[in-house]
Amino acid sequence: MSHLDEGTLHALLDGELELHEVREIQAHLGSCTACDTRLQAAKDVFGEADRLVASVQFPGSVKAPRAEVERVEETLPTAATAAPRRERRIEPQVVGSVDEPQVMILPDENTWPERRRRLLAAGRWAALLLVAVGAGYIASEVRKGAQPAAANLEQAPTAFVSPEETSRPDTTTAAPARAYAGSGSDSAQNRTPLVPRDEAAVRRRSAAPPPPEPRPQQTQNQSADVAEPPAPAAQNEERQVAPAEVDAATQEDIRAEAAEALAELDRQRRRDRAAAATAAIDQARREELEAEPAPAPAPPPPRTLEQRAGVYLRIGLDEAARQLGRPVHVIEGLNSEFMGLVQGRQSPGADSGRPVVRVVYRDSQGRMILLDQQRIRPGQNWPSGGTQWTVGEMGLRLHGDAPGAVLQNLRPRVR
Amino acid sequence: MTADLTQLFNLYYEPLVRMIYRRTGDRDRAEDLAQETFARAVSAPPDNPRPWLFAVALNLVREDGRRATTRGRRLELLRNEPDGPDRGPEAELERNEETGRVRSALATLKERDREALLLKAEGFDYDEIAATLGLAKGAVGTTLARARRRLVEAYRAQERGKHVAS
Repeated sequence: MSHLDEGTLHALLDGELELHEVREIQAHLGSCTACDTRLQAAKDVFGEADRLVASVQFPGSVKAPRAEVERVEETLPTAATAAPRRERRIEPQVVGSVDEPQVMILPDENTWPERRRRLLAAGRWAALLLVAVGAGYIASEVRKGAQPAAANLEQAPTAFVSPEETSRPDTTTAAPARAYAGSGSDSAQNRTPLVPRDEAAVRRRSAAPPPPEPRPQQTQNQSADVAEPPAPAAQNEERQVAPAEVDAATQEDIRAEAAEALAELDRQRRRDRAAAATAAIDQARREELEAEPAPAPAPPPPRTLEQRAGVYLRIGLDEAARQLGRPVHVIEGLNSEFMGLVQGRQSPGADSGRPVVRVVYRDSQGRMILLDQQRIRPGQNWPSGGTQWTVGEMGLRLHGDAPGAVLQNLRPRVR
Repeated sequence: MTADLTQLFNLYYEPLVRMIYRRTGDRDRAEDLAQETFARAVSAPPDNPRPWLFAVALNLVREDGRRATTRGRRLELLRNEPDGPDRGPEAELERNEETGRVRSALATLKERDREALLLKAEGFDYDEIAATLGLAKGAVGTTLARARRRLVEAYRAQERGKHVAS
């Protein structure tokens, strides 16, 4: 056999080699001083490296909060979350440890009433937008119908209409204006957007020539306007003027409202994103700070084979041989899962002050089979009988999940 | 799926955080990246979760390291961990120095060697290390041997430097 390379030596120390390979190596080590020396050096490096890595411990305790997975899951746009989701309760997130200055990440108030209020507000804006667009459409249709009559009025400064003009009896033009304002009983008030807000515009309009036919001023009950039939000329003029005014005034409002609605939707998206981003922050830390009742304890994780076997340290063949002072016993024909050390008091008859080497097997039915071994010291009484016996200075014991008959059958195969 | 993920979380969250912390030295970052790893597991549930989770976590650590370097914000965190056991100031200082030296020694290793070492420290066997890092199983022993040797050499060199300086 050629000399052992570093990788093979470390595989040996890691317990990663097959039994036949270990036997070949042991045979070689017995005759090759150089490899034996290298094995000793590898053991030093092996132990020192593991100690160094293990010395970097996570400060404090790592907690796996029970609800963390659900929270992570909820933040993701997966197929599962595309289904109707239950409402998440987003709370103020606190970052940092208790002793650090606390930084609050507040995804705004995102409770259900608050979200409902925002959604309703967005809905109102959308409805308003729809009504305004409808009004504009009706106004443009009306203007198309009034084109011939409007030709006579093109010279007049029709961009602005006085309150007096707007208060003339006119049911046709009042309709869209009222539709926009939402009420017909106070049309003078509701038509105020038709009044020019610019003083210069008012002055220009005052300097303009008076209308060709003075019309009767109406300052009485505005609701009567709706009932009274308008004069045809006045109707034509109003058709020309008022829809344009409605267009000009409402378009500006529509744009402002649409911009506001879009901004509100954008804010809503940002709030949702902020809520999602902060949802994954360590819940345990928040719970401590918020002094909320602790959640029900998480179900314990399934026990690993090491835990079931009671092994507190996995070791390789070499370390096992060092512990026992001779090669470890194994069950012929079974491949071991691993071997390790258990406390002496866990194995009846063993010296409780010294560890026991335990080789862990699993049979074809998945049952755990354990082979304990400890070097017997003078004065130590290792009970014998059944699946517990001695070989020279070595005390052996077979036990595990398998029935006693199976263990009895395995005993002759222990080498 | 939630039940499975919860089980995975209970099994692997702590080892993941510990490994990432050993790699980055940043506790908060370790927790963030571990959670990000599980977030990815939600969107793409793995068939073989343990190697998958650790491979994703190591990828995230590498990406995070690149981003940090690009932005020039690589920070060496020297924290006073508030929730560790009270060892007294001198013992705490000694522990911090020791941890710093080990992390510096780890930083001198090649990425692959370092990752193999960290995975081994989390109880991975050679098959799992090979699957996680995309190595041949036969190369794992050599990789680990080299990583251990270089780690110890780098650590001892720092120890010598410390004694010379003092």
